[in-house]
Amino acid sequence: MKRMNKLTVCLSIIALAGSLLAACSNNNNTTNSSASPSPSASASSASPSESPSASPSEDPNAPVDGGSLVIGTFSDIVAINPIYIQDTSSGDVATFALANLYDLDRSGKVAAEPWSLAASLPEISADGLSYTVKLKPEAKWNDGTPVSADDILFTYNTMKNPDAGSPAISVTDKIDTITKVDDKTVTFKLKQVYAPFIYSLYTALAPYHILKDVPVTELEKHPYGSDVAQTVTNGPWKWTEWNKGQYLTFEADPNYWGSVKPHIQKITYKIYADQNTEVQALLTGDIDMTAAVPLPLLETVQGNSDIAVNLAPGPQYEYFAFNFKDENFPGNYSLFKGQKTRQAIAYALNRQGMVDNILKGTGTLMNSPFLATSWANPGDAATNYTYDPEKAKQLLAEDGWVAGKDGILEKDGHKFSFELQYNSGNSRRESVAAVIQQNLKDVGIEVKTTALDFATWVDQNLNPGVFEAALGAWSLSNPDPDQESIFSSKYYPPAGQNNIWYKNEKIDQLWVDGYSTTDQAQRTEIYKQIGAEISADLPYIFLYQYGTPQAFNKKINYAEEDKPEASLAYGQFFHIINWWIK
Amino acid sequence: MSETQSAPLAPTGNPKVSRRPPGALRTGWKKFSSNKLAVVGLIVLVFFVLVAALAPWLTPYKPDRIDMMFPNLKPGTGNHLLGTDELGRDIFARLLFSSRVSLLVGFSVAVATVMIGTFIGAVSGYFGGWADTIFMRLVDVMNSIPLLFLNILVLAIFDPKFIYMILILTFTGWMGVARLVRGSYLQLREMQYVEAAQAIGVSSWGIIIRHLLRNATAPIIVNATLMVGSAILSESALSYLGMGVQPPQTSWGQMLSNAQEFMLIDPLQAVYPGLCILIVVLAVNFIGDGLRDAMDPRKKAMMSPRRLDQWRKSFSKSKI
Amino acid sequence: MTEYLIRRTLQSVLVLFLISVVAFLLIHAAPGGPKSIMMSPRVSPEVAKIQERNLGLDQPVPIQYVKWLGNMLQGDLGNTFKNNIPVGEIMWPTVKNTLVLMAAAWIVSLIIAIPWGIYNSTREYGLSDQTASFISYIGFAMPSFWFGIILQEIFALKLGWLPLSDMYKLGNEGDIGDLLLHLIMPVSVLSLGFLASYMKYARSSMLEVLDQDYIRTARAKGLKERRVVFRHALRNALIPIITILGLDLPILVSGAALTERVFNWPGMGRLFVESAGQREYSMLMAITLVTALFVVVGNLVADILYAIVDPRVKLGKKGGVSA
Repeated sequence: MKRMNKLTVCLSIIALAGSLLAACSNNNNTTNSSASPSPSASASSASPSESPSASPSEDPNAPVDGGSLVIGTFSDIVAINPIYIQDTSSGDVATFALANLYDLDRSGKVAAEPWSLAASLPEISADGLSYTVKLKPEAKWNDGTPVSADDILFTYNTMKNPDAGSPAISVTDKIDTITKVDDKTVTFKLKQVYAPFIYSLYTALAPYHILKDVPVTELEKHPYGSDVAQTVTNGPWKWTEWNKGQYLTFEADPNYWGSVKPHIQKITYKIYADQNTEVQALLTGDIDMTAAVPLPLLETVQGNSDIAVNLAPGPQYEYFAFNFKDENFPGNYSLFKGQKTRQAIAYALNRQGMVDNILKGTGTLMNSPFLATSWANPGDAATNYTYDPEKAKQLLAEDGWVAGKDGILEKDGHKFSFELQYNSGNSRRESVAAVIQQNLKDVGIEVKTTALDFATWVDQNLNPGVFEAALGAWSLSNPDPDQESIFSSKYYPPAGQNNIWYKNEKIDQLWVDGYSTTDQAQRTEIYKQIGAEISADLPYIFLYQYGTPQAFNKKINYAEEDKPEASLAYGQFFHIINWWIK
Repeated sequence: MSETQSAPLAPTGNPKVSRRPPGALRTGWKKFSSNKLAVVGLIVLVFFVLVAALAPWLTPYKPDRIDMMFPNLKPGTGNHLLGTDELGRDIFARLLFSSRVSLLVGFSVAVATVMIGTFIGAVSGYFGGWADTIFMRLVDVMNSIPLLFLNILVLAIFDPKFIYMILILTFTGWMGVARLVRGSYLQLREMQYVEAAQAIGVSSWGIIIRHLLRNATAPIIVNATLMVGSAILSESALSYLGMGVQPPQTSWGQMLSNAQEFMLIDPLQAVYPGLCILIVVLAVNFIGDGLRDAMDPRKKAMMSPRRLDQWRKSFSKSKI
Repeated sequence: MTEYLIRRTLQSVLVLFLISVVAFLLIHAAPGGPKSIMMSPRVSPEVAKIQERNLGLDQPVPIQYVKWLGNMLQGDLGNTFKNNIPVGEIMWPTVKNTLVLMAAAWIVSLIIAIPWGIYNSTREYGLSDQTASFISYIGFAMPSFWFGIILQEIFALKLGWLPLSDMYKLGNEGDIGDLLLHLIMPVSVLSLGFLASYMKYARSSMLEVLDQDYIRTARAKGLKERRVVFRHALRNALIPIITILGLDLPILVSGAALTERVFNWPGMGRLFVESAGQREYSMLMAITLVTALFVVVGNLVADILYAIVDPRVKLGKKGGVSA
């Protein structure tokens, strides 16, 4: 239980509110891989209370204002226009500068916190089709303009618009109409019952009064979100500086509208060239927290008495994706079309070995796209592929693959040799890629591994679905099990996230059934079927659920109810407004 | 008077004088072998070449064999002389096999740059004129770009493949040899024997190859030796930046970049490959220095090996 | 002299022009070219067309080149494709930081190397000379990034004497003392290589001069050795060093890239390596050109200085042959 993975540069592609956030959060303490679906159960786990020092009960002089917090990261932000945020770093800093319409509570439910823009939970009509949202009257942007219904309309209408190229389109396209009831109230009308919709309300808003005249195709290039001076914000901290490639700073906004004010005066988001330098900086006290300690360095970090480390798998899982589109392969022939071939690969991989030796036992094997901690976990209904190279060879032979002269399998003149892409700078993934390469070599499949810069990889390969095979991860932004936009054939790129061009009509229908009811028992049954079907058909090989060790200098203080939460995306900043520095 | 002192008489007087003077090669070797550093360098280099050639027989492990059962073993555990890395790969085996890649890069780049550089230098120096102008402008251009940047740029654009790395290192390494060869050709082409050769109808290429090349051999060999060292260093830098050798292939530079992660826990992992690079490059440079001293009778002092040529150039620029 | 200056400057401009052509062609030869990178893959084909036109990517390469060169000359280096920020806004601060690092390394190595090299030339093969020679060998053969890593391990992590990386401690931006502290390790790494070569130049250049007739004459006149060395030899010995300083610039810049990477120094070299990984073409082009400009101007200045200091240089002839 000591270590978890290293860096998690996971995939991003934040479907804004939607089902999937692929950012990589890393989380700290709380639950480990045991079963409990509700993260709140984790509160009882040992690490948190003793890690970041002082719980309020023992602390005579409760929170103090002032002080600064330095957070380490290894990649610069892109921009913090909420319509386009899709990388972890931008998402991280957006949590400081931009208030969300709704936030998540520790158990992952949508909540109207004192720092949320909405005044209360949305009113949902009896037919489940319309959601009415009311804004707090005092909420305003830091240029003095009130946050209004127009901001909501603008944000969601832009996200819905295919010309805008927003990654959030996969969830916002469920919206039929958005109507302004009054200056502070909006009603969303859905095309159909869509259970996960409520999570699309967990998003920041773009300022209508700044962006209203920008043509929709120019929005992504607009300096809002990248030029500090032009970026008006509505969060507890205002953005004060961006020294590109080096650091960003945020200072408590004296005009912040919320009733709860931040204690920490200044937040610095410091960028390092790589994780090792970042961790070294943590050890020397240059930074106060990092969300991703590389596994090899974990023991060293834990050995430092000023630093508390929190381990727990987060809401994210790693996968090995097969691309089904023939055009992506030389000779226009996808090697992965045969179901038996995919199953053979599943048998050939030593997943348990990866979990034990690379994740040091802190990850949990997965057989379907549902987290072990989720109520939708299909359990034994999903096929578990144990490490069995002989079985793999047999299945490959049954599917028509025969060894060529060089020992590499061939079928119809196509050599079983492919490129496995992953992002550079993530040592966990590098190790796993090396193991995959070795495991598949043992059964006669040649794997060439290619490590690419994360942002480029996402832009050039993952988003457009141009690759042969990929090693990546999804980070689930909310506890809803729906993942239609990853696996349904309705969501091919560029609009959707089914970047492997996978099509299985039965599963397509099951995803629809799954979100078309709000009855959880019924949904559980449907996701069990999906688990059984998808684990047999294997569009991905589901590897494991994992987390990244988060490290906090003990000068960071928070009350028990405000401690970081591993099971949420961006949970390392959970209730950061209530933290203080001492 | 002079007749009486003519040659035929001398032998009887002093038989020793009549012996043929020792050949250039022999004098060279004698001088070279009296240079201790150069001899040590040669021994070390031969050692590494042997190790590289015999690598599979020196260790029972394969360098890319991942064994998840035994990661991060300490040196000396079981048969793992230097322990294993985070994936259970035997570090000693990786060091041995890395020497193959590093030496291969070093020697192939050296040979290739010398060939290209000699060709361009010979053409420029012998023919002069517009060919010379074009080539020397090209040299100026190449010398004005930080070459590491150019290497990175090319490898980033066209994927970091091994063969691309050799090509780009060659493409960015030939200028020194070219200028050197051009310089000696400029001098040599004025020699009388060249005029004589031209007079009896030897073709230009014949002169370039048969007569001039032979006389320019010494500096070329020295330069080639030093090229080996700098190519090994360039490879390690590129691999360190992730633009060079890609897994499962392994090189010292790549091991270093991998080992940097483990500096806090196991600094030794970073020490071995770094030391290997240092030792091999030192050895090669010692040999280069030894060769230069051996081939250049005027050189008695130990001179800067690598930049001497540049320095000489800057003088020849003003003199020629 | 004026004629030489003009010719030499024109040559430099020509070299810069050729570099820009090479860099531009190289990038446009990339598989898929900048087109595939500069445009968001999520947008529909129609929008992509519009963007393509906006970026001028639908035009023939020579026209694109001319336009790009025109923009460059007006100081417009283009925008990043990642978030549409002007390249210059990101690049210029890093250029400044790199210059700080390079200048420091340069000054340190010159201050040590020249007196030491000259001293050694007067005491050939003494202990000091041997030591210098040893340092030179190591300096030439050691991978600089490895040396940096080892220094970090010892002085920052084990002993905790020096800051591990960065240019300033956060919050201390602009504090000279803090900067100096942060400079120690990267400057040591960079200087080692330069120390090695400058020392040899100084030494051998001095030896050469001391061998000249006029020095012998000076000695024969009965002048004190000290006076011979400082009054007569030194000035002439320093002349070739100027040229070498110019020639070494590209190597200095390359070395700085690795060092910046190791020490997380916010410089141009680190930016270049990162941009290469992200294929930020505008950034790569801009940095390539700026460094080339820097190097070419450095060489030009060195040559001109050389011509001014050394009356023996026959200007006309020199230009003629190298042209």
